[in-house]
Amino acid sequence: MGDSGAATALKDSQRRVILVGNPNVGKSVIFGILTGRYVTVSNYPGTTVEITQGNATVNGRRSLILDTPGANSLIPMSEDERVTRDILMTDGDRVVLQVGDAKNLRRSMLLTVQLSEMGMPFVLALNMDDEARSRGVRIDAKALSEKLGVPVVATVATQRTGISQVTASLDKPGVSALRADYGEVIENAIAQVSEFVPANGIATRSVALMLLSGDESMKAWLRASVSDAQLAQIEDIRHTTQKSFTHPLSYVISRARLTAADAVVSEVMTTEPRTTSTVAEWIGRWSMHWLWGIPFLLAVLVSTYFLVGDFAAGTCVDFLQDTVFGAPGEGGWIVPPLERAITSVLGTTGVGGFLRDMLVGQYGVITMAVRYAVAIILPIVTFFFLVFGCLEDSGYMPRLAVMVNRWFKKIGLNGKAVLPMVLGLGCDTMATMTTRILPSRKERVIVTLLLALGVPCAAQLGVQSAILAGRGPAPLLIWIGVVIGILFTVGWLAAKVLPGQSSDFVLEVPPMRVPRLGNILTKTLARIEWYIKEAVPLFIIGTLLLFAMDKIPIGDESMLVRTEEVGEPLVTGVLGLPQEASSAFVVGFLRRDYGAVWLADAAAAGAVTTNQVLVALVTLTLFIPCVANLLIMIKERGLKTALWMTAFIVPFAFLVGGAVNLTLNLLKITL
Amino acid sequence: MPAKSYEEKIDEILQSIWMLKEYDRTGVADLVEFCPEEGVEADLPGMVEGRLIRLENGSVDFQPAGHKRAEGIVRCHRLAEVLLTQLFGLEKNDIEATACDLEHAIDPRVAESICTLLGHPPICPDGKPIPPGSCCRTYEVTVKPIVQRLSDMAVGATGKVTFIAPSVHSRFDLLASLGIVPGTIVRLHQKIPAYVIQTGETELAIDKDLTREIFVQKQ
Repeated sequence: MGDSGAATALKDSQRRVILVGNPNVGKSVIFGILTGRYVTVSNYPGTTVEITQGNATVNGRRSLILDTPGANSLIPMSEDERVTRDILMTDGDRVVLQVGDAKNLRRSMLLTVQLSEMGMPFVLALNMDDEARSRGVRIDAKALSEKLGVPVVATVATQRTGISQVTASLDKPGVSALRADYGEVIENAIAQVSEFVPANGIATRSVALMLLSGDESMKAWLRASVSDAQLAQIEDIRHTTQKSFTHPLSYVISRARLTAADAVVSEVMTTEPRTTSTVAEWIGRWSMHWLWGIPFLLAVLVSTYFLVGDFAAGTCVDFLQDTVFGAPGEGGWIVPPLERAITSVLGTTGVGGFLRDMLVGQYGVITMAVRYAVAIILPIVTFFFLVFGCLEDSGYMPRLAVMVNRWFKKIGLNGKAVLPMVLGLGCDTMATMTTRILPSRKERVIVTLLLALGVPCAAQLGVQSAILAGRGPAPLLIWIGVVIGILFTVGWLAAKVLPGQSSDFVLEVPPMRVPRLGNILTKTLARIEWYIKEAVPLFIIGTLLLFAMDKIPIGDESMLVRTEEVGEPLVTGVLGLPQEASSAFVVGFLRRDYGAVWLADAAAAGAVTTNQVLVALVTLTLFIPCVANLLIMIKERGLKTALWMTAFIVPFAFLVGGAVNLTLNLLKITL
Repeated sequence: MPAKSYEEKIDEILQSIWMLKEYDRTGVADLVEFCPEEGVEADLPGMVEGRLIRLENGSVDFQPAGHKRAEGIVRCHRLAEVLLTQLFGLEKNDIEATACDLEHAIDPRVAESICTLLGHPPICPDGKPIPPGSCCRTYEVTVKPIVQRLSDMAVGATGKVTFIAPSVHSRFDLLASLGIVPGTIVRLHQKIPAYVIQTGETELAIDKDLTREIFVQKQ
């Protein structure tokens, strides 16, 4: 069934430990401790969007640990919640480790009731015990364990507190007898529906309740073993049962579960009233205040700009570019000596010369691809992810979602989309994957489109801000204005045109926390690794392509020159750029930041005017980000949708660039 | 049960027609079966004459005057139900007879006051719509409401959810999965730029649309 295919394929002898829990309770932290494998951890609900698995030896037993996306209910309301439910339904030797937020016991219990109904053997870890205590929440773990009939351990996963007790209890999980009281009518319906439910990994009672709740995703699964007539009978039972209630059955069922949860909570939890707020709570409040939230946001933006746009893209890049790499015939630690060495070995003519040019020539792998990737893009991406990691772990992102919710509403989205959109400023490919946290297809399509169309990734952003540095504020403001204007217009139109509903904005706002340096460094390293694996090969391919085009003659000119001639009406005519800019767009198809680097070189050499810089920047920003992003678009949204988006974006980018050029010319503006 | 006046009987019949229409049933036969009054058929011609209803091919429909009167009766009945269950905490099964008596006793002005007091509830405890009065359209709040929409509660105030009346059914599930059901205590932290509420130790950012559909009793 769906994404659980990988899990069913494993050896029977291996036990599976499935981590389940509400969003943002620390499942991924515990996963990391158990497996030693890093998965992205953040203070943002919904960071994990698919099952991550890793091997671990738990009490001397080989186990496969599965980290699942957070779910508030096992009756799924979004794609990531469905993934979690599906994994629970596959058979085999397994034990569930339910991770709960100690300060939100009631919500954990809502899941506990459902796990109990499934007849699932499980262990309950009440995580973030320290936060609960500081808020005056006390839970009697022993009483809770007796009440549920399963081991209950208080943990602080980030400090590894309680983890050894958790692993020890994984060998003796309990099957809980906790049940909700649904009343006679629903109990009868459960009995009737149960007759049709085929044997599977979980108790039929639980499946019957899912069906009575009207869980559509179950139907496809049932179809494999149940006839259409029987399906219709189930539907009939549901309708008849519904007639006894004025509220939807799913709601009646949820309420009964919450009543059961409340009964447990009232027995084991005490709360001391608090009169004081912590500093973190104050900051948390202010950062989403309608007025004080704005200076807060500006402060975040300005410090990000100084760190990423100024320090990383300016100081670091200059140092790496001029001092460390350098250029043939000029100063620098790497390129000049390397170029001399390679030239002396390979010579400048024949096959040797060809290879020499391929490595250190104008379109050389080292002089161009490696230099671009390491000296220009890497420092920018590194600093962006450091800042982004801090924002993520501090708990600021959901507060930013609160601040921008109103604006996002206008483009058919809501505040929830802020995470993929801001992550897009780091890497559009990663961001496109996280669109899974959005509940409706319509929103996922809009965000995917906007990311591909106009959200520049850190690499591109860094290069572009470096190009614009020293050209005054006008081009920068026009560029930002045009791009944001386009994003809003396209988003607004897409929201009108696309069928379907946008979802309600309901987002959990976790407490503000001091980010842990260790986690941020690990996370940044993981993201840089991803970046290098993804970008460097494309840089090398792009460079080899240019190199080949430069070497292959068509008639008396190289293919590169010929391409530039072909692109001339568009590049020179419409956009008003020099002919050589064609090659920027050729490589821009591979990665748009790579295209931007070409522009940076041309700008540094004084080969283009500020007007041309602006036109080129606007056009490149609106391009498809890179081949990797295109592939992820196809994977996440399907080939057809991805192709439609591409067919729209590429001509549209030139159209807007042309419009900017035309406007500047008509108004006789020289920037 | 004391004998009803003729007018009260007509009220009952009009109310039955209204309720049947909610299930898209308009047959005279349905009405005779559904209406608790005896000898309904004998009263129908008089009601036609009084321009309250019209009969066509064995089905019954309101004339404007009848529609207005039925609307008023249903409104009073359902408001009485909300008053008795939400405010006085009585069980739904115990109040039906009282609600039936009250519906005749409450005049439109008193109905407006009750409606305002209850925060202009859109539905009765059974989930059926309460026909809105003019007070709901202007959304009067001069009588201090006991039950109010979460969106109208003051920032910093705490309320207990009395009922949820979502325009979209899936919102029931969404809120329930976050632990928000009748009986839950919620605190309103802020309204702009987005609503932020707290329940237990969970803080939630939430659309205004949703907070309008959550009715709370201020604590």
